[in-house]
Amino acid sequence: MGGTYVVSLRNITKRYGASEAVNNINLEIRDGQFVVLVGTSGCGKTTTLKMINRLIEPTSGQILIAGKDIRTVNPVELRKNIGYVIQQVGLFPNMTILENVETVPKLLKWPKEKYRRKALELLEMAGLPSDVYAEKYPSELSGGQQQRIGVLRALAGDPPLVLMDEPFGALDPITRDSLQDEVKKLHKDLKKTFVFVTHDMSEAVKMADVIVFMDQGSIVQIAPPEEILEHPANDFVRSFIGMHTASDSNRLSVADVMRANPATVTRDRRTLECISLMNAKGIDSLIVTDENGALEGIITIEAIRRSGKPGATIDSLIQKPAGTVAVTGSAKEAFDTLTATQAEYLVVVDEGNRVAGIITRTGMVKSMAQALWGGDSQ
Amino acid sequence: MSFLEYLQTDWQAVMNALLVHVQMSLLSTLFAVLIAVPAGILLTRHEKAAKIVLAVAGVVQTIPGLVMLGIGLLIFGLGMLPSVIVLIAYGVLPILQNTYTGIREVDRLYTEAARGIGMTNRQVLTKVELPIALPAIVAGIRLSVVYIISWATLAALIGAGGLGDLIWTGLSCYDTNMILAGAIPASLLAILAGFLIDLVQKAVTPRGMKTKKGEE
Repeated sequence: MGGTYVVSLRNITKRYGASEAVNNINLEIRDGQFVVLVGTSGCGKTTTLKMINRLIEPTSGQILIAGKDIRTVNPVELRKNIGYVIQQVGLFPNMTILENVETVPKLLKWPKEKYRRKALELLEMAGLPSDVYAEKYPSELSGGQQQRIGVLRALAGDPPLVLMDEPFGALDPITRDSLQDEVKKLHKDLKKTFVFVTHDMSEAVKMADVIVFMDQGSIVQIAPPEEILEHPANDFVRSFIGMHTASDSNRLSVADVMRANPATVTRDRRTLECISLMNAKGIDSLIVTDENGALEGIITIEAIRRSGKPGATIDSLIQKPAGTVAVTGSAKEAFDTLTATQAEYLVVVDEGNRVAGIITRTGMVKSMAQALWGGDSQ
Repeated sequence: MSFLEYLQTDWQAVMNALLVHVQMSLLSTLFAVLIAVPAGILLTRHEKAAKIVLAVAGVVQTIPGLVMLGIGLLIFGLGMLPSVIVLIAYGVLPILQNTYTGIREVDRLYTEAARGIGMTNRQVLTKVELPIALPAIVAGIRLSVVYIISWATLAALIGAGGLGDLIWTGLSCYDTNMILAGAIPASLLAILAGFLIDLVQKAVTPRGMKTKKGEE
C-alpha cells in the first residue's frame, strides 16, 4: 500500500435529482482498519460504500485508494481487487460452492493450481470441509453457511480492501454472532482493510476499530466505539445508542421508562366510584391527588374492603405510596428502589410534586429487555 | 389395402418425406435460435425497443400459417426456401420471448454481486445471466420446435415436400393410408422432439436450480 490511508473520501456528494443521498463527506480509512458505517436506513451509508467500488459514481468529490484517484481506474479492474459482500449473499445459483469461491481468482487469471489451493484453504478455514461442501450448490446450504461462502468469495482474490454491505442483516442472532466473530478473526489474521455497513449499533461496537456515524447523508461522528458510547456527538447518536446497546442503560431517565397518565382520583371521591374505576381499568389501586395534580397518596382496594363504608369518601383511607421517584432521576436508581421495596409500582413525581406517571415491574422488565437485546432498527 | 401393407410397399416414399420434414424443421429451428437468442439478449439491454419488437412479433404470430405461406410463395416462389423462411418467422417469437423474460427475471442481486466482484458486462451475461436463464430459453426452443414440426406439414402446399405432401395428397384422393402415413410420423416426430429437448433442459439445469422450473 502506498500511503497510510488506504481509502480517502474527499468532499464526496451524491445527488439523486434534487435529493442528496450523501452530502459532502470526508473520510480517511487507514490501512488495516475495520471501519463500520452505521446509521438508520436512508442515511447514505450504503451509497457511500458503493461509491468506493464505483457501483455508484459520486456527483462530486474525489475518492483515492492507495493514493490513486479511482476515476482513473477501470471499474472492473478496481472491483476485482476489492472484496464485496452483500446482505442477500448473491452466491451464483448455477455454480457450485467451489466455483463460487473461485470466481474472483479466475477473473484475475490466476493459474488453476493456485486458485484451487486458495479456495480449498479458505473452505477449511471457515469450517466447511471441502469434501462435503465443494460440490454442493448454494441452495443446498443454510443461510449462515451461504453467507460464510459469500465472505470467502470476497476474500479469495486476496484483495487488500473488503466492502461489506449489511452482510449479516438477514441472519438469526446466533449465526450472526458467530459470523461476526469469524470476520473479526479474519480481519486480525489477514490484516486487510474492512469497510462494513450496518444499522445495528451493537454490531458496530463489536466489529469496529472506528465507527463512522452517518445521518441524512452527513457524517455526524467518527470515533472508536468506546468514545462514541462515552461521548456521543449529539442527541441523535445518543438515542440511537440507547436503542441499540446495553451499555447505556444507566443513562436512561425515569421519564424514559415510566408509564405516563396513570389512573388518579381526588380525595373527595367516594369508595364505590373508586372500586368501579379500578374494575374498569383492571387495577387494584389508584393514585390520589389534589386538584392541581399533586401527589397525596394512594388508595388500595384492600383498604376500601377492610374499612370503607359505602357512600363514604376515601379521605380517611389514603395511604402513603410505597415509594416515589423524581421524573428526572435515573432509571437505574428507580429500578433499584422498586426491587428493594417489594411494591407493585413506584409513583413518579415532577418538581412540583405532581404525579407524572408510574414505574411498574412489567415496565421495568420491558425496558431492561430492550436495553439488553435492543429494539429493532429505529 | 391395410395401413401396414401400404407402409411395406411405399416405405421409401414415407422415409423420404420424413427426412425432408426433419431437414426443414431442423434448419428452421437452427435459424430461429440463431436469430432469437441474440435478439432476446439485445432486447434486455434496450427496454424501449423490447416493447415494440415483442409487440410486433406477437402480431406476426397471430397471422394464420396458411396466409403466411401464401405471402412466402408470392415473395420467394415455390419450394423449400419460402417454407423455411415462414417457419423461422414463426419459431422466433417463443424463443425471443423466453430469452428476454428469462434474462430479465434473473434476480438483480446476482447481477449486482457479479458486477461488485469485478465481472465485465459480457462476463455477467455469459457466467451469470445466461446460465440462470438457460432453462427458460430451452423451454422457448421446445415450444418453437413443436410448432415448427407441425406447421411444416402445411409447407407441402407450396412445394416444400415433407410429410405434409403425403397428408395433402392423401386428402385430395381420399387415401386414408396415405394420410396416416404422413400424420402419424409427423405427430411422433413432434412428441419425440419435445421429449429430447426435455432431456436437454434437465441436463442444462444445474442441480442447485432444479427446484426452479423454467417457464413453459
